[in-house]
Amino acid sequence: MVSVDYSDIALVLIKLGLYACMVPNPAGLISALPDIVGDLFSSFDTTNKPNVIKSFNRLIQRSLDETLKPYFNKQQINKIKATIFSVDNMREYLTDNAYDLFSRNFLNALSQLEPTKNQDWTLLNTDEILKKLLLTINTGIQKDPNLLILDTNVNTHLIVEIVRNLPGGNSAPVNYPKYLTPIELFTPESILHRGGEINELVERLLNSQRIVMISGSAGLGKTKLARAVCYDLEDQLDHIAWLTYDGSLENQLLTLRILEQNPDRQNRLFQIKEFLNTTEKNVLIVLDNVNDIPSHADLQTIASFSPTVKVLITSRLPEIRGVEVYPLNALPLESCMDIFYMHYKLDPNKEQKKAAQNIVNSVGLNTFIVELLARSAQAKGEKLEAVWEEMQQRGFAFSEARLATERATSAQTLEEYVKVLYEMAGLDEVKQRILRVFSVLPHSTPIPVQIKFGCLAI
Amino acid sequence: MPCDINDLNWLVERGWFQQNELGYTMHQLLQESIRLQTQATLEDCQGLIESFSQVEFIFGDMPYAEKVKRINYADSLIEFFHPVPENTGFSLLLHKDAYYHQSYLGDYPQALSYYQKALAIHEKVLGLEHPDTAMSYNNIGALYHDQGDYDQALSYYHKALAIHEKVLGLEHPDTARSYNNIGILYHDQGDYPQALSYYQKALAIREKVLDLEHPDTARSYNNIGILYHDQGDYPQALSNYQKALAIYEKVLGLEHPDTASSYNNIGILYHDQGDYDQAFDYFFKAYRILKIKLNPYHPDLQRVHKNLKLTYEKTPVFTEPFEDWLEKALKNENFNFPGSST
Repeated sequence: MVSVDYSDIALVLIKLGLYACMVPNPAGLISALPDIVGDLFSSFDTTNKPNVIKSFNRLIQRSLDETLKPYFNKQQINKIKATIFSVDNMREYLTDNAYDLFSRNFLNALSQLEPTKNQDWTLLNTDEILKKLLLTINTGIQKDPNLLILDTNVNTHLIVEIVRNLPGGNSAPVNYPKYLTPIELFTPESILHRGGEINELVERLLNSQRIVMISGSAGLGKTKLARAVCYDLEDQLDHIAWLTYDGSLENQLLTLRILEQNPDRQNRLFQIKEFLNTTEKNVLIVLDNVNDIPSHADLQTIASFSPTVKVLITSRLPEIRGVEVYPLNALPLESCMDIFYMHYKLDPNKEQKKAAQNIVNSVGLNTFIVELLARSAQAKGEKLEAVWEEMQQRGFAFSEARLATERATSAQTLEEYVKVLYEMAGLDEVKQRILRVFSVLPHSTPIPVQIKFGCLAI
Repeated sequence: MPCDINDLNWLVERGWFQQNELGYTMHQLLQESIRLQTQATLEDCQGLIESFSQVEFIFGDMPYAEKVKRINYADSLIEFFHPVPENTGFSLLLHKDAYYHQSYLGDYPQALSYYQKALAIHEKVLGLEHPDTAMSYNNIGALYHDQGDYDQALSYYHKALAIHEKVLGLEHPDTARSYNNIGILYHDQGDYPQALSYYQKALAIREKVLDLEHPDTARSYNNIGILYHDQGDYPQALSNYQKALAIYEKVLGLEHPDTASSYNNIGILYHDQGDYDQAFDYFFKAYRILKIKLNPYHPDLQRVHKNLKLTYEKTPVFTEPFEDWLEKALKNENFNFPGSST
């Protein structure tokens, strides 16, 4: 293991990351630490970071060329550089494990080089090469106007100490907005017959479980239930976020209204996670539509959140390892009928009521499809018997006998239902096209669409 | 076939979309079913492709989170089409989305992947000697340049240059831009003679083809000025900076950020020579412009502010606190600095 002198620039860069997330209030800091630290902080304002990073990347590149020249040939230097620069994102070098990463990659690169006739790598003093490299980086910093702000004379340990001891220090209130993402307006009247579920979920999140997953098949109203839980908990929360899972939690975390001015993805992610891992505020994060098993990394991220950060997941999966499941079942027929009549307001006679029951039963009490059918019939002013007849003709519905024993809930069957609905809806080409266009965009995320270019634009 | 807002409302009424103050939402079940049943075509998505490729899609004054969301829209559209359509409209979208990943997310691997897909389209559809193919090479070069991978960057820049030289000729502004990029690359590596040679090639074309008073010509003078400045050749640096400034002042006006940047460069030059009075004068001119033109967090504004403050503190005539002085000075249109030569 190579030991390295930490009083150099790499550490300054590392500390700056920590430093920025510890200080929510620049004004307080500047007044407490006049001149050098204030200057450092204001110069390192987040919007300036791309230039700093760019220059830093270039500097590493140049320093490697210069330092390695006496020891290696051009081809070997290129190989070392390739390893150093092979990290997914060069900005890794600006995060808190930057320095380790840098030396590890360097040593790793050395170990992969093939010895040549006149060179024996085991005799090379890698410590010395690393030190020279750092010295070159240090000197480079003095010459680069973008990096000059990283004053190498600053005693970084001292800064961290001073910041820690500031009034409010680490736990100074963070002024992030209550709604960390836009949250759609919710009216309690829009959800029927789920009072028990709402109460139980609220109770679990408040008192016993930090992560709860509402599990159930598509179209049962998981998302609506989660909205209702948010609505109920709202007054007891400091922050709420609604994220639609798309396979990457990190992408979603980046949409939070936290440090939005910071254009450096890695640094910002680090700070967002730091906030969620350490906050003492009451936070609720809804992760909607987690229908693919989340990556191990994403689950770990969620697991590391502070105990006051509650996570409510909605998913079609029956279970996710390490997450408490709240199974959501279909509503009974009577309740589904109420939902049907919430959207179908034409006064039904007795015959029609029977047809309505058949319709609702035939779609497996799936509330989403029930709602679609009701809205469609309402909009067309259709009699329910006619709707039921058409459904049967199109092979949409199971026979009444079969309905008694079998309910359609598999995703495949649901998709078939939607297909028939699509055919029944009488969509003209323009409307079909709009639906096709929407289907390529992320689902469940509100899209501020405009009519432009003859069709849709954003 | 044009659609209008009534079509959307029709679909909302029947439950195909939810609509609220944030926009339109489609249920995942519907999305999946529609995708299974009927595939959107490239023609269907023409509006989105054009909209996502427009400058204002992402460059406007919007929160970062909104930009991330919009990049997700563009990604979703791109990922939908398999295999990648061999269509230049689509390749433009790939270029734009790659650039969004490069500059807003710092996600270089994703940016590279999209640039390479766009390049493959250009190579196949337009051929190996088309200016758009050159643009692809150039963008990939710039991506490597950004990451400090100079060898790869140079190789791609040269591919772009070769096309420009052959197809557009030795006296085309795009050829000049290629020379200029290679010049910057050498400059960043500290290879000053090579940098100068490429800067001069770019300048020669610009002087001849564009105009002696074109902003690009000024940019060339400016680059050459910085190069001399970096080498400590102050008279040459000043001469080039002044040529650039004269053009900026005349063509862009006295209140343009590029003019301010030119003032700032001259300020640094005087500062480096110990002439703080002159330096201060130029820094203040630059600051006065940028303060109005840029948002308070803009790095250029902060840099000039820092230069001004450092110089202020080195000028003994000034006794009051810098920020107090600055506030007064900005209010006074005809402010004269003690010790200033102008």
